[in-house]
Amino acid sequence: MKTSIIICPHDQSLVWRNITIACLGNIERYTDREDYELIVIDQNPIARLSSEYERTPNAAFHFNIIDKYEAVEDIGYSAANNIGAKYATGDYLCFMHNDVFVWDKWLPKLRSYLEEDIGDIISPHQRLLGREQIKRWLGMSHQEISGERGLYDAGMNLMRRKDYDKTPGWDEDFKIRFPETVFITKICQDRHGLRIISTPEVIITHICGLITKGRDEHNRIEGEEAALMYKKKYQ
Amino acid sequence: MNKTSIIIPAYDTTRLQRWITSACLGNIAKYTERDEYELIFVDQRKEGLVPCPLNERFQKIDIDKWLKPKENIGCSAAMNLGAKNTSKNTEYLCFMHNDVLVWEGWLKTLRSFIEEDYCDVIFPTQSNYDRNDIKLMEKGDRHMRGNDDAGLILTTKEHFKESGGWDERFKTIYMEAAFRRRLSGRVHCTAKCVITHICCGTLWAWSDEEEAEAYSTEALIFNALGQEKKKINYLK
Repeated sequence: MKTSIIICPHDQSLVWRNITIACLGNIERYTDREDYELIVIDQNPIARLSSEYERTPNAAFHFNIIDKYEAVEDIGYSAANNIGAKYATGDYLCFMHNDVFVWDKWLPKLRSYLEEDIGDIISPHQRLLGREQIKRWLGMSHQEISGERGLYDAGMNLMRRKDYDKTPGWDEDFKIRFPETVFITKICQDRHGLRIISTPEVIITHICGLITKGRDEHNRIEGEEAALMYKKKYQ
Repeated sequence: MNKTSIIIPAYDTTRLQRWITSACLGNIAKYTERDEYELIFVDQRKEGLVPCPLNERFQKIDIDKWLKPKENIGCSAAMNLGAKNTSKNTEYLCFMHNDVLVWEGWLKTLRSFIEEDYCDVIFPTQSNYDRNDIKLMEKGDRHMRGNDDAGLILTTKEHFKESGGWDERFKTIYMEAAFRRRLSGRVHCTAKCVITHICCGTLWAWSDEEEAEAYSTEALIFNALGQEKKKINYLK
Protein backbone atom coordinates (compact mmCIF):
# COMPACT_ATOMS: atom_id res chain seq x y z
CA MET A 1 0.00 0.00 0.00
CA LYS A 2 1.51 3.24 -1.15
CA THR A 3 2.04 6.45 0.77
CA SER A 4 1.64 9.83 -0.87
CA ILE A 5 4.26 12.17 0.58
CA ILE A 6 3.08 15.76 0.24
CA ILE A 7 5.59 18.59 0.54
CA CYS A 8 4.77 22.28 0.06
CA PRO A 9 7.88 24.46 -0.14
CA HIS A 10 7.75 28.24 -0.14
CA ASP A 11 11.44 28.90 -0.74
CA GLN A 12 12.60 32.49 -0.68
CA SER A 13 16.35 32.11 -0.97
CA LEU A 14 18.94 29.68 -2.26
CA VAL A 15 19.59 28.42 1.27
CA TRP A 16 15.90 27.56 1.61
CA ARG A 17 15.95 25.86 -1.76
CA ASN A 18 18.92 23.77 -0.76
CA ILE A 19 17.18 22.73 2.44
CA THR A 20 14.22 21.56 0.37
CA ILE A 21 16.51 19.69 -2.01
CA ALA A 22 18.28 17.99 0.91
CA CYS A 23 14.90 17.09 2.41
CA LEU A 24 13.80 15.47 -0.87
CA GLY A 25 17.23 13.86 -1.19
CA ASN A 26 16.86 12.06 2.14
CA ILE A 27 13.43 10.77 1.15
CA GLU A 28 14.94 9.41 -2.04
CA ARG A 29 17.83 7.79 -0.18
CA TYR A 30 15.93 6.24 2.66
CA THR A 31 12.56 5.20 1.25
CA ASP A 32 11.89 2.21 -0.99
CA ARG A 33 10.60 3.51 -4.29
CA GLU A 34 7.59 1.21 -4.42
CA ASP A 35 6.48 2.47 -1.01
CA TYR A 36 5.64 6.03 -1.99
CA GLU A 37 4.81 8.73 -4.46
CA LEU A 38 6.17 12.24 -3.95
CA ILE A 39 3.99 15.26 -4.51
CA VAL A 40 5.57 18.70 -4.38
CA ILE A 41 3.35 21.76 -4.31
CA ASP A 42 5.90 24.36 -5.19
CA GLN A 43 5.02 27.89 -4.10
CA ASN A 44 8.25 29.40 -5.17
CA PRO A 45 7.96 33.17 -5.16
CA ILE A 46 11.33 33.76 -6.76
CA ALA A 47 11.31 32.87 -10.42
CA ARG A 48 15.06 32.42 -10.62
CA LEU A 49 14.84 29.56 -8.17
CA SER A 50 12.27 27.62 -10.11
CA SER A 51 14.79 25.36 -11.78
CA GLU A 52 16.85 24.68 -8.64
CA TYR A 53 15.66 21.08 -8.50
CA GLU A 54 17.47 20.52 -11.74
CA ARG A 55 20.55 22.51 -10.69
CA THR A 56 21.61 20.14 -7.95
CA PRO A 57 25.32 19.64 -7.32
CA ASN A 58 25.19 16.09 -8.62
CA ALA A 59 24.01 16.04 -12.22
CA ALA A 60 23.05 12.39 -11.97
CA PHE A 61 20.69 13.12 -9.14
CA HIS A 62 17.00 13.32 -9.78
CA PHE A 63 13.81 13.27 -7.81
CA ASN A 64 10.92 11.02 -8.62
CA ILE A 65 8.32 13.71 -8.31
CA ILE A 66 5.10 12.58 -9.90
CA ASP A 67 3.49 15.97 -9.78
CA LYS A 68 5.10 19.31 -9.27
CA TYR A 69 2.24 21.69 -9.01
CA GLU A 70 3.51 25.24 -9.40
CA ALA A 71 1.27 27.64 -7.53
CA VAL A 72 1.18 31.04 -9.17
CA GLU A 73 0.67 32.84 -5.90
CA ASP A 74 1.21 32.23 -2.21
CA ILE A 75 -1.88 30.16 -1.54
CA GLY A 76 -0.68 29.28 1.95
CA TYR A 77 0.43 26.08 3.56
CA SER A 78 -3.03 24.67 4.32
CA ALA A 79 -4.37 25.18 0.79
CA ALA A 80 -1.19 23.68 -0.66
CA ASN A 81 -1.67 20.56 1.45
CA ASN A 82 -5.26 20.24 0.23
CA ILE A 83 -4.08 20.45 -3.39
CA GLY A 84 -1.47 17.78 -2.61
CA ALA A 85 -4.14 15.53 -1.15
CA LYS A 86 -6.23 15.94 -4.32
CA TYR A 87 -3.31 14.74 -6.43
CA ALA A 88 -2.53 11.86 -4.06
CA THR A 89 -3.32 8.31 -5.10
CA GLY A 90 -1.85 6.51 -2.06
CA ASP A 91 -3.72 4.74 0.74
CA TYR A 92 -1.77 6.82 3.21
CA LEU A 93 -1.00 10.53 3.25
CA CYS A 94 2.18 11.88 4.75
CA PHE A 95 2.18 15.66 5.20
CA MET A 96 5.79 16.69 5.60
CA HIS A 97 7.51 20.06 6.05
CA ASN A 98 10.32 20.79 3.63
CA ASP A 99 12.85 21.17 6.48
CA VAL A 100 12.43 17.63 7.76
CA PHE A 101 15.13 15.00 7.32
CA VAL A 102 14.21 11.35 7.45
CA TRP A 103 16.49 8.41 7.98
CA ASP A 104 16.54 4.72 7.17
CA LYS A 105 13.30 2.68 7.56
CA TRP A 106 11.30 5.71 8.67
CA LEU A 107 8.23 4.99 6.54
CA PRO A 108 7.55 1.29 7.22
CA LYS A 109 8.06 1.91 10.94
CA LEU A 110 5.62 4.82 11.05
CA ARG A 111 3.13 3.04 8.82
CA SER A 112 3.10 -0.01 11.11
CA TYR A 113 1.28 2.10 13.72
CA LEU A 114 -1.58 2.60 11.25
CA GLU A 115 -1.47 -1.01 10.03
CA GLU A 116 -1.64 -2.31 13.60
CA ASP A 117 -4.31 0.27 14.45
CA ILE A 118 -2.30 1.76 17.32
CA GLY A 119 -3.30 5.26 16.20
CA ASP A 120 -4.83 7.23 13.34
CA ILE A 121 -2.35 10.08 12.93
CA ILE A 122 1.25 9.13 13.48
CA SER A 123 4.04 11.59 14.05
CA PRO A 124 7.72 10.78 14.62
CA HIS A 125 9.75 12.13 17.52
CA GLN A 126 11.32 15.38 16.33
CA ARG A 127 12.65 17.29 19.31
CA LEU A 128 16.16 17.13 20.64
CA LEU A 129 16.89 14.80 23.50
CA GLY A 130 20.17 13.69 25.02
CA ARG A 131 22.11 10.69 23.77
CA GLU A 132 21.11 8.45 26.66
CA GLN A 133 17.41 8.71 25.89
CA ILE A 134 18.02 8.23 22.17
CA LYS A 135 20.11 5.12 22.88
CA ARG A 136 17.41 3.71 25.13
CA TRP A 137 14.87 4.06 22.32
CA LEU A 138 17.21 2.72 19.65
CA GLY A 139 17.71 -0.43 21.72
CA MET A 140 14.00 -1.24 22.06
CA SER A 141 11.95 -3.72 20.05
CA HIS A 142 8.84 -2.57 18.18
CA GLN A 143 6.65 -4.08 20.91
CA GLU A 144 8.54 -2.31 23.68
CA ILE A 145 8.75 1.07 22.02
CA SER A 146 5.17 1.20 20.79
CA GLY A 147 4.19 1.94 24.38
CA GLU A 148 6.56 4.93 24.57
CA ARG A 149 5.69 8.43 23.45
CA GLY A 150 7.92 10.92 21.67
CA LEU A 151 7.50 14.66 21.58
CA TYR A 152 5.07 15.92 18.97
CA ASP A 153 5.95 18.69 16.56
CA ALA A 154 4.46 19.83 13.30
CA GLY A 155 7.07 18.53 10.87
CA MET A 156 5.40 15.30 9.81
CA ASN A 157 2.02 13.60 10.11
CA LEU A 158 1.05 10.28 8.55
CA MET A 159 -2.60 9.28 8.24
CA ARG A 160 -4.91 7.00 6.31
CA ARG A 161 -6.46 8.40 3.15
CA LYS A 162 -9.90 7.19 4.24
CA ASP A 163 -9.59 9.11 7.52
CA TYR A 164 -8.53 12.27 5.69
CA ASP A 165 -11.59 11.93 3.45
CA LYS A 166 -13.86 12.03 6.49
CA THR A 167 -12.61 15.52 7.30
CA PRO A 168 -13.11 18.76 5.36
CA GLY A 169 -9.31 18.92 4.92
CA TRP A 170 -6.91 21.64 6.03
CA ASP A 171 -8.55 24.93 6.95
CA GLU A 172 -7.37 27.29 4.22
CA ASP A 173 -7.96 30.36 6.36
CA PHE A 174 -4.70 29.48 8.12
CA LYS A 175 -1.94 30.19 5.64
CA ILE A 176 1.14 30.13 7.83
CA ARG A 177 0.19 30.17 11.48
CA PHE A 178 -1.56 27.27 13.21
CA PRO A 179 -2.13 25.01 10.18
CA GLU A 180 -1.28 21.81 12.08
CA THR A 181 -2.85 22.95 15.33
CA VAL A 182 -6.09 23.51 13.47
CA PHE A 183 -6.09 20.51 11.14
CA ILE A 184 -4.47 17.82 13.28
CA THR A 185 -5.65 18.81 16.74
CA LYS A 186 -8.91 20.64 16.22
CA ILE A 187 -10.33 19.07 13.07
CA CYS A 188 -8.93 15.53 13.12
CA GLN A 189 -8.69 14.87 16.85
CA ASP A 190 -11.40 16.98 18.46
CA ARG A 191 -14.06 16.94 15.75
CA HIS A 192 -13.46 13.56 14.14
CA GLY A 193 -12.07 11.55 17.03
CA LEU A 194 -8.82 10.53 15.32
CA ARG A 195 -6.10 9.34 17.68
CA ILE A 196 -2.74 11.15 17.49
CA ILE A 197 0.37 9.16 18.39
CA SER A 198 3.88 10.53 18.50
CA THR A 199 6.32 7.64 18.47
CA PRO A 200 10.04 7.66 19.24
CA GLU A 201 10.42 4.54 17.09
CA VAL A 202 11.10 7.00 14.30
CA ILE A 203 13.29 10.00 15.04
CA ILE A 204 13.58 12.69 12.42
CA THR A 205 15.53 15.93 12.27
CA HIS A 206 13.32 18.98 11.90
CA ILE A 207 15.11 22.27 11.41
CA CYS A 208 11.85 23.99 12.42
CA GLY A 209 10.20 27.07 11.09
CA LEU A 210 11.02 26.92 7.40
CA ILE A 211 7.42 27.45 6.45
CA THR A 212 7.26 30.55 8.62
CA LYS A 213 10.71 32.06 9.09
CA GLY A 214 11.83 34.72 6.67
CA ARG A 215 8.26 35.86 6.36
CA ASP A 216 8.70 37.92 9.51
CA GLU A 217 6.59 40.96 8.64
CA HIS A 218 4.06 38.85 6.80
CA ASN A 219 4.20 36.49 9.74
CA ARG A 220 3.49 39.16 12.33
CA ILE A 221 0.43 40.43 10.51
CA GLU A 222 -0.80 36.99 9.62
CA GLY A 223 -0.04 35.81 13.15
CA GLU A 224 -2.29 38.44 14.69
CA GLU A 225 -5.10 37.73 12.25
CA ALA A 226 -4.68 33.99 12.57
CA ALA A 227 -4.78 34.18 16.37
CA LEU A 228 -8.08 36.05 16.26
CA MET A 229 -9.52 33.66 13.71
CA TYR A 230 -8.34 30.66 15.69
CA LYS A 231 -10.09 31.99 18.76
CA LYS A 232 -13.27 32.62 16.83
CA LYS A 233 -13.42 29.32 14.98
CA TYR A 234 -11.86 26.80 17.31
CA GLN A 235 -11.95 27.98 20.92
CA MET B 1 39.39 5.72 24.00
CA ASN B 2 40.88 8.20 21.56
CA LYS B 3 38.62 11.20 21.52
CA THR B 4 37.71 13.36 18.55
CA SER B 5 37.57 17.14 18.58
CA ILE B 6 34.63 18.17 16.40
CA ILE B 7 35.18 21.69 15.11
CA ILE B 8 32.26 23.60 13.65
CA PRO B 9 32.47 27.19 12.45
CA ALA B 10 29.27 29.14 11.84
CA TYR B 11 28.63 32.51 10.32
CA ASP B 12 24.92 32.89 10.88
CA THR B 13 23.30 36.07 9.70
CA THR B 14 19.64 35.04 9.88
CA ARG B 15 17.44 33.16 12.30
CA LEU B 16 16.95 30.41 9.75
CA GLN B 17 20.71 29.85 9.50
CA ARG B 18 20.84 29.72 13.28
CA TRP B 19 18.26 26.96 13.27
CA ILE B 20 20.21 25.02 10.68
CA THR B 21 23.27 25.24 12.93
CA SER B 22 21.17 24.11 15.89
CA ALA B 23 19.94 21.08 13.96
CA CYS B 24 23.53 20.24 13.03
CA LEU B 25 24.69 20.42 16.66
CA GLY B 26 21.54 18.62 17.77
CA ASN B 27 22.24 15.62 15.55
CA ILE B 28 25.76 15.37 16.92
CA ALA B 29 24.30 15.29 20.43
CA LYS B 30 21.74 12.66 19.42
CA TYR B 31 23.95 10.34 17.45
CA THR B 32 27.39 10.48 19.08
CA GLU B 33 28.53 8.97 22.36
CA ARG B 34 29.38 11.81 24.71
CA ASP B 35 32.67 10.31 25.80
CA GLU B 36 33.87 10.03 22.21
CA TYR B 37 34.12 13.71 21.40
CA GLU B 38 34.53 17.29 22.48
CA LEU B 39 32.59 19.96 20.61
CA ILE B 40 34.29 23.20 19.63
CA PHE B 41 31.96 25.79 18.16
CA VAL B 42 33.50 28.82 16.45
CA ASP B 43 30.60 31.20 16.45
CA GLN B 44 30.84 34.21 14.15
CA ARG B 45 27.17 35.05 14.23
CA LYS B 46 26.02 38.42 13.11
CA GLU B 47 25.92 41.03 15.84
CA GLY B 48 22.47 41.31 17.34
CA LEU B 49 21.26 37.99 16.04
CA VAL B 50 19.44 36.21 18.81
CA PRO B 51 21.48 33.35 20.21
CA CYS B 52 18.47 31.05 20.13
CA PRO B 53 17.96 28.22 20.00
CA LEU B 54 21.42 27.06 20.88
CA ASN B 55 21.24 27.71 24.57
CA GLU B 56 17.59 28.31 25.17
CA ARG B 57 15.18 25.79 23.81
CA PHE B 58 17.56 22.92 23.25
CA GLN B 59 19.32 22.33 26.53
CA LYS B 60 20.88 19.09 25.39
CA ILE B 61 23.65 20.51 23.26
CA ASP B 62 26.84 20.50 25.27
CA ILE B 63 29.36 22.82 23.69
CA ASP B 64 32.75 22.26 25.28
CA LYS B 65 34.39 25.35 23.87
CA TRP B 66 32.32 28.17 22.46
CA LEU B 67 34.73 30.52 20.69
CA LYS B 68 33.48 33.91 19.58
CA PRO B 69 35.90 35.79 17.31
CA LYS B 70 35.21 39.52 17.34
CA GLU B 71 35.18 39.82 13.59
CA ASN B 72 34.52 37.64 10.58
CA ILE B 73 37.84 35.85 10.28
CA GLY B 74 36.63 33.52 7.54
CA CYS B 75 35.97 29.84 7.50
CA SER B 76 39.59 28.61 7.14
CA ALA B 77 40.86 30.74 10.04
CA ALA B 78 37.89 29.62 12.11
CA MET B 79 38.81 25.98 11.47
CA ASN B 80 42.42 26.66 12.51
CA LEU B 81 41.25 28.53 15.61
CA GLY B 82 39.13 25.56 16.56
CA ALA B 83 42.06 23.19 16.02
CA LYS B 84 44.29 25.35 18.23
CA ASN B 85 41.76 25.14 21.03
CA THR B 86 41.37 21.40 21.17
CA SER B 87 42.11 19.53 24.37
CA LYS B 88 45.41 17.75 24.69
CA ASN B 89 43.79 14.37 25.14
CA THR B 90 42.05 14.24 21.76
CA GLU B 91 43.68 12.42 18.89
CA TYR B 92 41.35 13.08 15.97
CA LEU B 93 40.06 16.25 14.36
CA CYS B 94 36.71 16.39 12.64
CA PHE B 95 36.05 19.57 10.67
CA MET B 96 32.37 19.92 9.98
CA HIS B 97 30.23 22.53 8.26
CA ASN B 98 27.26 23.82 10.21
CA ASP B 99 24.78 22.55 7.62
CA VAL B 100 25.72 18.89 7.97
CA LEU B 101 23.47 16.32 9.63
CA VAL B 102 25.09 13.16 10.95
CA TRP B 103 23.29 9.92 11.74
CA GLU B 104 23.67 6.94 14.04
CA GLY B 105 27.13 5.37 14.09
CA TRP B 106 28.79 8.06 11.96
CA LEU B 107 31.86 8.76 14.09
CA LYS B 108 32.71 5.16 14.99
CA THR B 109 32.46 4.16 11.35
CA LEU B 110 34.65 6.96 10.09
CA ARG B 111 37.20 6.65 12.86
CA SER B 112 37.60 2.92 12.29
CA PHE B 113 39.22 3.61 8.90
CA ILE B 114 42.02 5.58 10.55
CA GLU B 115 42.28 3.32 13.61
CA GLU B 116 42.74 0.33 11.34
CA ASP B 117 45.37 2.25 9.37
CA TYR B 118 43.39 2.08 6.16
CA CYS B 119 43.89 5.77 5.43
CA ASP B 120 44.98 9.05 7.04
CA VAL B 121 42.08 11.24 5.97
CA ILE B 122 38.49 10.12 5.60
CA PHE B 123 35.37 11.72 4.11
CA PRO B 124 31.83 10.35 4.38
CA THR B 125 29.53 10.17 1.38
CA GLN B 126 27.47 13.33 1.19
CA SER B 127 26.21 13.85 -2.31
CA ASN B 128 22.75 12.74 -3.16
CA TYR B 129 22.23 9.16 -4.19
CA ASP B 130 19.12 7.25 -5.03
CA ARG B 131 17.76 4.38 -2.98
CA ASN B 132 19.39 1.62 -5.01
CA ASP B 133 22.84 3.18 -4.60
CA ILE B 134 22.31 3.48 -0.86
CA LYS B 135 21.33 -0.18 -0.65
CA LEU B 136 24.43 -1.18 -2.61
CA MET B 137 26.58 0.92 -0.30
CA GLU B 138 25.14 -0.80 2.76
CA LYS B 139 26.28 -4.13 1.34
CA GLY B 140 29.64 -2.86 0.06
CA ASP B 141 32.97 -3.36 1.83
CA ARG B 142 35.25 -0.66 3.16
CA HIS B 143 37.06 -0.30 -0.17
CA MET B 144 33.88 0.95 -1.80
CA ARG B 145 34.26 4.58 -2.63
CA GLY B 146 31.54 7.13 -2.10
CA ASN B 147 31.21 10.61 -3.39
CA ASP B 148 32.78 13.28 -1.24
CA ASP B 149 31.92 16.90 -0.70
CA ALA B 150 33.14 19.68 1.53
CA GLY B 151 30.92 19.14 4.56
CA LEU B 152 32.93 16.84 6.81
CA ILE B 153 36.49 15.58 7.07
CA LEU B 154 38.15 13.44 9.74
CA THR B 155 41.89 13.10 10.25
CA THR B 156 44.45 12.80 13.02
CA LYS B 157 45.97 15.77 14.81
CA GLU B 158 49.35 14.60 13.67
CA HIS B 159 48.32 14.54 10.06
CA PHE B 160 46.63 17.90 10.30
CA LYS B 161 49.83 19.36 11.72
CA GLU B 162 51.84 17.95 8.84
CA SER B 163 49.44 19.53 6.34
CA GLY B 164 50.03 23.01 7.74
CA GLY B 165 46.38 23.57 8.52
CA TRP B 166 43.75 25.45 6.60
CA ASP B 167 44.98 28.15 4.24
CA GLU B 168 43.67 31.34 5.84
CA ARG B 169 43.80 33.29 2.60
CA PHE B 170 40.62 31.44 1.69
CA LYS B 171 37.69 32.70 3.69
CA THR B 172 34.91 30.98 1.82
CA ILE B 173 34.35 29.25 -1.48
CA TYR B 174 37.82 27.85 -2.23
CA MET B 175 38.69 26.94 1.34
CA GLU B 176 38.02 23.22 0.98
CA ALA B 177 39.81 22.86 -2.32
CA ALA B 178 42.80 24.77 -0.96
CA PHE B 179 42.93 22.61 2.17
CA ARG B 180 42.79 19.44 0.14
CA ARG B 181 45.79 20.55 -1.84
CA ARG B 182 47.71 20.56 1.43
CA LEU B 183 46.70 17.05 2.41
CA SER B 184 49.32 14.39 2.07
CA GLY B 185 48.91 10.73 2.95
CA ARG B 186 46.12 8.40 2.02
CA VAL B 187 42.70 9.91 1.45
CA HIS B 188 39.49 7.88 1.24
CA CYS B 189 35.86 8.80 0.60
CA THR B 190 33.89 5.97 2.11
CA ALA B 191 30.48 4.72 1.11
CA LYS B 192 30.04 3.15 4.55
CA CYS B 193 29.04 6.41 6.19
CA VAL B 194 26.46 8.67 4.58
CA ILE B 195 25.68 12.10 5.96
CA THR B 196 23.22 14.78 4.90
CA HIS B 197 24.82 18.00 3.74
CA ILE B 198 22.42 20.81 2.96
CA CYS B 199 25.26 22.45 1.01
CA CYS B 200 26.31 26.06 1.11
CA GLY B 201 24.44 26.87 4.30
CA THR B 202 27.86 28.14 5.39
CA LEU B 203 28.79 30.12 2.31
CA TRP B 204 25.41 31.59 1.51
CA ALA B 205 25.24 33.13 4.93
CA TRP B 206 27.50 35.81 3.53
CA SER B 207 26.15 38.98 2.03
CA ASP B 208 26.16 39.24 -1.76
CA GLU B 209 28.95 41.83 -1.59
CA GLU B 210 31.12 39.77 0.74
CA GLU B 211 30.58 36.71 -1.36
CA ALA B 212 31.34 38.44 -4.64
CA GLU B 213 34.54 39.89 -3.23
CA ALA B 214 35.62 36.58 -1.75
CA TYR B 215 34.92 34.80 -5.02
CA SER B 216 37.01 37.17 -7.09
CA THR B 217 39.98 37.50 -4.74
CA GLU B 218 40.06 33.84 -3.80
CA ALA B 219 39.72 32.73 -7.41
CA LEU B 220 42.89 34.64 -8.30
CA ILE B 221 44.89 33.10 -5.46
CA PHE B 222 43.51 29.64 -6.11
CA ASN B 223 44.18 29.75 -9.81
CA ALA B 224 47.76 30.77 -9.08
CA LEU B 225 48.04 27.74 -6.80
CA GLY B 226 46.87 25.62 -9.69
CA GLN B 227 50.15 26.28 -11.45
CA GLU B 228 51.91 24.20 -8.83
CA LYS B 229 50.84 20.68 -9.63
CA LYS B 230 49.57 18.73 -6.66
CA LYS B 231 47.72 15.46 -6.76
CA ILE B 232 45.63 14.25 -3.87
CA ASN B 233 46.41 10.66 -3.02
CA TYR B 234 42.92 9.14 -3.14
CA LEU B 235 42.85 5.43 -2.47
CA LYS B 236 41.78 3.42 -5.50
